[in-house]
Amino acid sequence: MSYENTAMLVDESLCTGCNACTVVCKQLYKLPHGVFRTKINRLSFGAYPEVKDYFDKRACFHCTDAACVKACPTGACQKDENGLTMINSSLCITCNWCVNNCPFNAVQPDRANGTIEKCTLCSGRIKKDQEPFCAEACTTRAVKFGTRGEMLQLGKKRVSELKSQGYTNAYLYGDYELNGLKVLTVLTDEPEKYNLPRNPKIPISLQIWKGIPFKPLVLAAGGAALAFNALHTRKVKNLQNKNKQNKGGE
Amino acid sequence: MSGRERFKLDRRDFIKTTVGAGLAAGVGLGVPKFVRAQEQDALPLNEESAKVVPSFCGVCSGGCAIQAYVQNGRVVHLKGNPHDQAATGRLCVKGYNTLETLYDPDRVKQPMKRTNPNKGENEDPKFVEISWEEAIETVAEKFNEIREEYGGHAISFFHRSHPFSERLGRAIGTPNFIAHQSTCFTTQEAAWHAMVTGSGKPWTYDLENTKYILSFGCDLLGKAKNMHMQNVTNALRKGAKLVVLDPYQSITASKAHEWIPIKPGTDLAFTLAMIHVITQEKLYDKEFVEKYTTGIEEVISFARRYTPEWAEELTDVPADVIRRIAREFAQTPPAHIPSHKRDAAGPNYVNSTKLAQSQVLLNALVGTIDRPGGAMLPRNPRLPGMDAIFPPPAFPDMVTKRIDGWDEEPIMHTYYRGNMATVADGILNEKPYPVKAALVRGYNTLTFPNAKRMTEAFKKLDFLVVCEIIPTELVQLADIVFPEPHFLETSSFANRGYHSMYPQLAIRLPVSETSLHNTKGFGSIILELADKMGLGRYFEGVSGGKFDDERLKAIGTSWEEFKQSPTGLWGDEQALEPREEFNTPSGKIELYATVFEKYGFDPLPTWQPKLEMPSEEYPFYFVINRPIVHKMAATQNNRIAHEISPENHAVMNADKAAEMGIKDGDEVIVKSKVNEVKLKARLIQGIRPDTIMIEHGFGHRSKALRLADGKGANDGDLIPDFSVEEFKKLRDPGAGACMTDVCLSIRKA
Repeated sequence: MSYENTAMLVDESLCTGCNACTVVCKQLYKLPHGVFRTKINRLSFGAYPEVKDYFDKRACFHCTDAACVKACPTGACQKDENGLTMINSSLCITCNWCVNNCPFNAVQPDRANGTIEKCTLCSGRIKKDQEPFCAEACTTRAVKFGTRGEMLQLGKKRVSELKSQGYTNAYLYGDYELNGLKVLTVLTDEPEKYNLPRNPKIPISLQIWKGIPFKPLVLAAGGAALAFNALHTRKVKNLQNKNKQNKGGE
Repeated sequence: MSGRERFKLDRRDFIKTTVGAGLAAGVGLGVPKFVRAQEQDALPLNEESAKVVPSFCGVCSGGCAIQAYVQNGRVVHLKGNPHDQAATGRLCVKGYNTLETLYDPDRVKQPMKRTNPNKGENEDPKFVEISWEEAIETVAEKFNEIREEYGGHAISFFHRSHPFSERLGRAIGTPNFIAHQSTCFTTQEAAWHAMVTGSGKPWTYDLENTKYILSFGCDLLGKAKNMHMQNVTNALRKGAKLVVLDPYQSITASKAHEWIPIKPGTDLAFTLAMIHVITQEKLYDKEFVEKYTTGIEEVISFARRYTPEWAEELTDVPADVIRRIAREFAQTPPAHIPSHKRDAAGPNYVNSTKLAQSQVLLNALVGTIDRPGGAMLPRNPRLPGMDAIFPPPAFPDMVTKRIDGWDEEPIMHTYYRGNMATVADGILNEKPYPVKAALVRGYNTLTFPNAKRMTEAFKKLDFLVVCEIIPTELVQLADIVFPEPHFLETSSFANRGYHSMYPQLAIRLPVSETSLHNTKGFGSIILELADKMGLGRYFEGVSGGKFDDERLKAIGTSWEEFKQSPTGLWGDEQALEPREEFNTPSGKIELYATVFEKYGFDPLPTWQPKLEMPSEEYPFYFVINRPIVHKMAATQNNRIAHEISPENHAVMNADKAAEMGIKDGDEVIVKSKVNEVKLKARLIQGIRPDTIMIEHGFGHRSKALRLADGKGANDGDLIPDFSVEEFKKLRDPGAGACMTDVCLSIRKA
């Protein structure tokens, strides 16, 4: 399987919201309380008895045109050579601009560790020709992984099957959005029902931001933030050491 | 290419970093150190170097085969065994997440004895740690004292069937073994027993090949049993139609093509009208019915009175919908009504056994009993029991009357079961005699109907021994606590519990040589206890290892051989041979159940309403559901399950709540005739306006469960219990505990 040309397919019609993916991801990546790289939300529309519920597996879509990459002032958040959006935490100053600008709410600060968390599509595994953990663990096999061609074909087939079963609004999300998402999603209804924007866009503010060449300013701001972070880290460390010493003295 | 290389700094980055660092250095701070600066794509699991230990899951009775990945002495990940016909390489969320229970810092780690003689939910037991020797000796002495003074029957056992413990009970001379099944599935068991199997309910479904799945509150997707989720979603993939009748829009209902919010406790009327349509319109599978069943003529004349118009009145479902569903069910083969434990045919209502009966009948009418697309009778290897391997000496005579009246259940008493709905009354009123001690394993007070009263019953005992892995509410009432290992730390083997299309066993080996805590397996505890009680002669030569080995030898293998299995499994795939005969008096599926008739029960499922109807005082129906990440009341202290689902709610219809001035998140008091609980309201559209749903498993009150304590409330507090006399009056061959046959009121707190 060529790594560059891979994609994930999430079939919401077969997702039961069990969060097996969430659990396995949290366990393996040792994510602290409140931090998720993937999580399922249950959404509900309509009035009794015409109620429809939807399950939205939310994680980084690895957009081709990625708002987070455009937003990042230090270059920590960038595309790797294979199109995955990755955050290099040693460059990240946790300014949260990626968090605020993601059109999908799929990036999250991890305050306990002073980092930004988001799905990496288990890039280390993909390189070893293994599926991401969530795809391997999904009880109902609603999450699949393969070449983009295969996933698109399967996704389109599922959408036409769902349409013939009465899900007339069935939708394949991610083929064209933001020039293509690496995570494709089969929806049983229109994207809005899953809290997904029909036409996701990079915020205009970011487009302007990237257009103006004021890199020196960015670097100054980045430097200041790094300095603040270091100061803060040292303060915390000092406090911790003090506490340790105090405890040792008891 | 490695992750490290990929994040190699390019020149621009290098300059940026240098400048940043330079700026920082300029103000005299040095290069900052980040707490978590590792590459984000570093691999947390290395399959090549990790040790893989075969096991099978103990979270539910499905027993999915597991591959446990151990790195540096710690289990980091569980995978489903790809060679297991049930797991097919996957687990369910609860299976994956059981690691958090294994490593739960709140686990019971050491044998303990109580030093505070006062017992109660707000009493600190003031446990002190003791040795295993002292713990076992204390229990042996106390049991022997009680036995001498009050007789062996004054000692009771509360746990799932266990061969060693049952033998100890017979040696002591007690009939009092109380298990939970009358709160779980005896209603379905009775119907299958009488009509098809003579030996209980089959758990395997071939739903993957079903074209039309009709569920009566059977939340196969929301309960998250691995094999059921896989079966149903595979059927959906293949284009099967899924129709769900449920007062609450469960997860299965939310994935269904059609959700019909039927009035609680009236599913029987719906099925009777279906039988009416299918028999009057002659839509049934004539070949199957003629060849494999008896009683069709009786059914045809019986069902004549149950028109869809009659059922519409009761069920709140229009007659034309009932008619259409009946026709679709009969004309979309293979069609099936699956049923697993606490759905509408579980022991929820006084008419649940009859619902189970009519479901078996409908499945027989469309020919999906032990046929593709239907319920499959078990195909497990035949393993000898304890008495065949270790023949016991003669047991002493004992009192046969039981504290819970189970001995008087005409059909169900032949099963190792018991009645959690009557045992509190028996203990508190000392009827038919006083019970002074109990040994409890794996059950908690929250599990019992009228949990508060059961707590009083346990408090009344002179001596309570609890075997547990986490410090539950019952542990807080115990005199002696025996800590048990987590299942991943033990050895065993098991059938494919809920998906056995051919005989297959999975082996379980301990994930490490030493247990995390000072624990002992239940079998060993019982053997040592028997020895210390002076009852060692009943266990001559018995050990857990020998028992396993002898059972395996009976099917042509052995423990040593099984241990070497490269897949962790025993048994090759076999082609399915449909049964031609069934274990009933006639050898056929008895639509007219002569076994029920013989014991004076209704051979056909005549309409009967539920016990309690909404009144002015209690205007709401009560239904129970379970959050998908939790296993009953056992996982609320599990770190990640707690994070995803920390508490339960009183779930009600948003429009109805608005009428009553209740807002989402308001604290409310929910009350039944036995008790009241305080909860937060959660308002949704997907529930009938006359129904309140409460999720099970919450309301822990043990302070030692540091995450779960005080979160939500226990639905079991609202469920009534019975005296043996009251229970007998229900005349239910399935002896169901009527877990939701009670109505509720709700008001703002």
